[in-house]
Amino acid sequence: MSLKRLIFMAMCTTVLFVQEQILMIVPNVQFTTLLIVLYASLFKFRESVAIIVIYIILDNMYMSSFHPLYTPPMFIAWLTIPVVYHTVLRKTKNEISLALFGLFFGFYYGWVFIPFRMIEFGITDFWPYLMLDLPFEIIMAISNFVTILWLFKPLSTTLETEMRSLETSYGYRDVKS
Amino acid sequence: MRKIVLSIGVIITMIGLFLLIIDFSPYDDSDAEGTITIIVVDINGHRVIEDTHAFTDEDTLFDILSNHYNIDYRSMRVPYYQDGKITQSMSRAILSIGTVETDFEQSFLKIYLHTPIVDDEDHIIDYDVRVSHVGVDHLPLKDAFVYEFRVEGVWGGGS
Repeated sequence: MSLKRLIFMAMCTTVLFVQEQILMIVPNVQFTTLLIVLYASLFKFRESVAIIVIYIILDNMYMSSFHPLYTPPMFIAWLTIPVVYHTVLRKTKNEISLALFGLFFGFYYGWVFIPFRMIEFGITDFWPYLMLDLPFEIIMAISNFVTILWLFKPLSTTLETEMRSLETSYGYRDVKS
Repeated sequence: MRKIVLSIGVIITMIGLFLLIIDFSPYDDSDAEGTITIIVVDINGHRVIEDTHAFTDEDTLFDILSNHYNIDYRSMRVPYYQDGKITQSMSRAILSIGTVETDFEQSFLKIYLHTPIVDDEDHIIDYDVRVSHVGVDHLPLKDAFVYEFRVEGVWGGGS
């Protein structure tokens, strides 16, 4: 992997982390899903996994939230994106398919946390918890759908151009296979 | 054009679903009258308060707390759909009761609902203790129930 590509990945991770901290004042409204879908489409599988792992570690360090019942669901949920992108979604660039995936992911993200939260807070009733969590999942689903539908294409085009010029400016190409 | 229609369609559907479930409560309505017990447990697990109070159909759990104890709380407005219009309900998080204080960042008051289990002759033989799914403003007042406020620590935040 070239140093420039590594720096590009670091910059992408920074954007991912900073936007989430800025948007933390609005519950579940963020560009995180859009950016991770975007990175999954731009980078190789292992590179997007590396970005996500670093982002989660940074987020948990910054928020002092490392915990066996909090950090693992974050890994499970966010790492699902590159896995699904490279398997079920078959590396599609179709913004509608990706937006629909984002819509579903808004709910999935909440569901992944439910068993861990139930253990953490000693909650024994599943259905009330699921129902009470739905409003937050809906906010995230709308946020994911709208941002991916409208921003994925322009961001993808811009970043692909930038990555190409970055890699060719050093006289070699390390375009993802 | 397709994207606009799709966006509007999804947003309207999701907002509809949101408004349908925003005021969901897993609990029944309050009883007309009765008595409840308030328990407050500090960070060390000591019962600082354990009192029984009578209530009528005009009372709420918040009223009982504010009438009998020195409390501090944080207000949040939650929108919900009722009678054909979007309105707002007050949702309050209790920060302190008497000398037991939390900051809602490092610690909070977790509410446990003790539901009485009765025998054939309506005598209470035990309590079913469960964590409340809702805040103080959405908990009904039920005769012979115990409302326990226990200080709990929290881990950071993040999303």
